[in-house]
Amino acid sequence: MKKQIISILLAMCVVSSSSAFALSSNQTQNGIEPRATTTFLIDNDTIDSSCSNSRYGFNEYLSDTGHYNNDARRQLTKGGGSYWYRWESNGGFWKNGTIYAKVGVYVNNKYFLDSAAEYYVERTYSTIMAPVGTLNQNYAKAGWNYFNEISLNSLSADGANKSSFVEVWPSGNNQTGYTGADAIQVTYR
Amino acid sequence: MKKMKEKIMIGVAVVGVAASASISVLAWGLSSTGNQVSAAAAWPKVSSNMAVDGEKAQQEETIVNDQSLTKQNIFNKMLNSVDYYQSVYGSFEVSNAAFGDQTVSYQAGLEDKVSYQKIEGTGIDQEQYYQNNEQIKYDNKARTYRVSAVAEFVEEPQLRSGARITENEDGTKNYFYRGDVTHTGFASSMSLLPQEMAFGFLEDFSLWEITGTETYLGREAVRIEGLTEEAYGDKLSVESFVFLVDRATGILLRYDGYDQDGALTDSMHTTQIAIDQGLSINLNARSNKYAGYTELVRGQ
Repeated sequence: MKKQIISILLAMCVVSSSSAFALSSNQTQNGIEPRATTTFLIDNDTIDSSCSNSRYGFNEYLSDTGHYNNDARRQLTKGGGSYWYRWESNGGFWKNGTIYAKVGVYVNNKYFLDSAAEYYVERTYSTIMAPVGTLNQNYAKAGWNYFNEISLNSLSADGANKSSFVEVWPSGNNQTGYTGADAIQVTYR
Repeated sequence: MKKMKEKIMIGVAVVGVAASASISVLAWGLSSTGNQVSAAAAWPKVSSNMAVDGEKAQQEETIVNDQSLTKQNIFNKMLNSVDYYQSVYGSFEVSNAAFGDQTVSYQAGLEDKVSYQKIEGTGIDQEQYYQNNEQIKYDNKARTYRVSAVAEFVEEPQLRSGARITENEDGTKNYFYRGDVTHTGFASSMSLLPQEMAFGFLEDFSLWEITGTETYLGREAVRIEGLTEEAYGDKLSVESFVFLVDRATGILLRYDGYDQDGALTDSMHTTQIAIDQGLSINLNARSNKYAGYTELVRGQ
């Protein structure tokens, strides 16, 4: 663990069950209960026991003040088709019915150059994860890049649905450069 | 190129104050799709089917119909280009240190929810199809393929009518992207829905100018000349740039990036484009050349 002491003090896997409910006009009309939102903020190489990381590849660990909590990981983009990095919240988010997920990813490194880094979220009962979108890490501005919210329809007969992790996969498009993995935020509702 | 840089810097100096002022004056009329940075980090939570009130809807309509050549309008159009066309096909060439020299051809039918992209370059030959809510990506070098289901994007009104860039208390920025409904990824970010390019090069309105319009591949294009922010330019080895943006749609047609010596170091040149003319290939008649390909299994 190469994180600094201060990073221990900072929340690295922050779970916030928002008191602000997202209400839709349809829901109000139909009298359906308000839905709470839950946000997970998860760093790479997290030391928080309420969340975890796993990976295939992404062996290179980077320390730099520009990264979130001063560290990140990377994987060569070229030929990186089967590699992945995962940010997972222990327990995840459960709901009966459709889950909505909005994902933000932090990038800030001059060698993160993947022209279409692929981001996915877990979708219960499906072996195929749901793609959140791609980010051109070469041209993305340093900071938090938030994808359009997506819906994860329940695939189970009883309507139960769950999502607990986000992954990034290299596109394999580049001649040179890396696909980066730093911190992510995912808000479920 | 150095002359162009001087011209840009003089232009920026002269109009910088005026531009800032005009952006402020137009704040409500245009800020509903603006890039104005706010101190609040939180993205207001609005449900997918929340009704937009009449007043805001009217403002949005006004903005959509505003075709005047302002920085805000061009910026907004690049961030929302997919609202301005239904189908597109074409090709472009990219060249830089990260990607090498690559040729990208693409097709996208937004209403029909289909797309195709092919990327060719040194050591790279990839094709991807989006159809029936499924995306298949073929690597013609490795003779492998990968399948992913396509999730539905939730309509987020604030992506059209709210600030797309905000700032956190620690100084980091938040950039909010619309869903890539073309499902092309690379072609989208470079040209068809060029959000990374707009955020990256145009966030600071004081660093660029609209220098005119010209015809490019039969399209009316807005010419933008500017300087990069220091850290961003350092990453790309680009100090100054020229954009040609399709005026009707916001599609980025051409990008040239130059280093401090005026050498071209980064570029994207559209070589063919047809907007709202349908698709040029039948995606249902997929080649059987993929028959012997192996499905790429996610590493464990």
